[in-house]
Amino acid sequence: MRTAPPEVILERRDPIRLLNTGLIVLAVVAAGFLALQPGIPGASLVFWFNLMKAIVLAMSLNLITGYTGYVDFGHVVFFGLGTYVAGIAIGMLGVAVPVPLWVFVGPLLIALIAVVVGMPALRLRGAYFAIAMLSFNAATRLVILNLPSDFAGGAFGIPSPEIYDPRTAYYGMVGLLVAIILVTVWLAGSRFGVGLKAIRDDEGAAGVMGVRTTQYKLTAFAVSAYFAAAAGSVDYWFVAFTSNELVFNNVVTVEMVAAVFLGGAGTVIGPVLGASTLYLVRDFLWVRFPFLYLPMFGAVIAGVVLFMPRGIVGFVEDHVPSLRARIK
Amino acid sequence: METQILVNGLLIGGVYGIAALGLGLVWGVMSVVNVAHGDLLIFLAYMTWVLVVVESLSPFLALVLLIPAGFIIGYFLYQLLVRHLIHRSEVELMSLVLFFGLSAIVYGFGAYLWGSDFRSLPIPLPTFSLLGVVLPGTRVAAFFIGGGLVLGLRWFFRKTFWGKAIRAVAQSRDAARALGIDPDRVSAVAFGIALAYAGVAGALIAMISPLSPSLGVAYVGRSFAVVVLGGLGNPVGTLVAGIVLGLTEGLSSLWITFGLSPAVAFVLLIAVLILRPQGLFKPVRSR
Repeated sequence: MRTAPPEVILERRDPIRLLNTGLIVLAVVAAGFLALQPGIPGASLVFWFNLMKAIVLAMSLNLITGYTGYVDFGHVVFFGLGTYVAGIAIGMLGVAVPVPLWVFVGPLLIALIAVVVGMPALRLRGAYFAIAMLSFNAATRLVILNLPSDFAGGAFGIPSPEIYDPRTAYYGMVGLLVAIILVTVWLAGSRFGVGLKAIRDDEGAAGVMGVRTTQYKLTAFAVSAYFAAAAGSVDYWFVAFTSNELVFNNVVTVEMVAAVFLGGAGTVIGPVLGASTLYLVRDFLWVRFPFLYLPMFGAVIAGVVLFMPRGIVGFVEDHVPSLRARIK
Repeated sequence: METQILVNGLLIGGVYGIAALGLGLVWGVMSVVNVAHGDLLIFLAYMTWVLVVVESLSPFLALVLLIPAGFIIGYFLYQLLVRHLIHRSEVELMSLVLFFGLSAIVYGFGAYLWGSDFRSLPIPLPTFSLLGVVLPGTRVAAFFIGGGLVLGLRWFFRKTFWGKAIRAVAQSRDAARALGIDPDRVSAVAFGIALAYAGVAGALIAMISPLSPSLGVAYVGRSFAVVVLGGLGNPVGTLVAGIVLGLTEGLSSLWITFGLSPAVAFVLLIAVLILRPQGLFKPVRSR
């Protein structure tokens, strides 16, 4: 039996490095394209903004569900809390902090909440965690609804017409998209990312191998929650309004889960592909059959689980082996 | 006031118990967590509404009709969807995601067909009062129907061939197959029974509360909490856990605020999972 010489192993690592550089270049090019978009006549700012939001949300769910293996059916709660951390500070308390700064700093508070919630919740596994999060979202929505309305807006939500500036907020989302792509690319090749995948594959074994599982899971959960919350805060900046009917909506979680599993959970490019595909289909369906789009998302999830359990990325890997190294 | 709240909690708890039975049965027998359970319950509750308000049947006749309807839905859900997953190694995770998709489908169609306005049935039975406590006749009937069917399921599991076959499959699919039991057929029947119970629960929910599609999330959270509290696949434990949840919700609406009572299931669930993860009662299947 011959073992491969070390330089071959190094060479085999090369495409992955190349790929990472490629992805970063791609991210920069995409960011440049998106940054120019508002200047192109006829292009809809809302369309591109919401596309980027869908990608950021899917990638944020991917960090905890795809890489760490904790399926989260309440992830929209962090998006919702993100809109509220912006809405309460800006619209209700009138905190004298620049909006472009607060939409990135405020979500740190939500990441902190994720740590506090994660400490008990991440001790649960599988369905227990998923449904605990589903209920956590429902409970959070009710708590916000029942907070004093001069603090959290009650059933009317929080408008802040004075900060309405979609053009600038648009660049906030471009920045967030680039940031989460960079974080995911880094994570995919890092020791931390390997640790998360080990937890996903076998948590007990990962612990025995010396992965500090609790710390890893909490970190992944906090980062994931931060990006979902920042997407919420930037969304608040973009539309200058939030209300708990809208932002704690399970439909958003369904979209995220569908995007992650359609594209390929636990890959860098998967959620980008999944979210973009579904966004285009939704945009098409939304106009023609507004009521069918939720069942369609559900059917996508069910179909992927039954026929393509590793998503688009896994499907391509299985059928086009030469691409295997390039899309991981 | 307290007595009234406790009685209300007890009566609605019976409905929570029977609503959770189907979830616990499927989970216990085939390690499949049906996240769509809440939306299916509410879908079947809407079917009751259609039968009673549109077709002007008696609500109790509607309840009886929903038993076979639920059974057929459950049987085919297993044959068409779950059967393809049950042999995969990651069945628990994948079925979770699959049923999450199904819940979006059911919820979406429900919202499409019936809109998001509240719909309610005419109240079928009069309210009476006993020792100063108001007893709505419908809720009392719902409690006894629920309790009776729970005891019926217990008898079914212990005494009948199919009940024993379901328990055998829950313990080990391979061993059951070796004894000549077809695990797929038994699982499909178990899924059918689970949804037949969901049909009854849906009819009872329609009788005691106004319906909206968004109730599904509340019911899946409640059912999950009840199953965890009562022990997997233990009918009597599930009923008692349902009553515990009903009483807790009632008391919390008295002591805190009414608006937060759906959050109670979540707090109860987390508390049980941390303090007593094996539930209050012995599960039928011991791992």
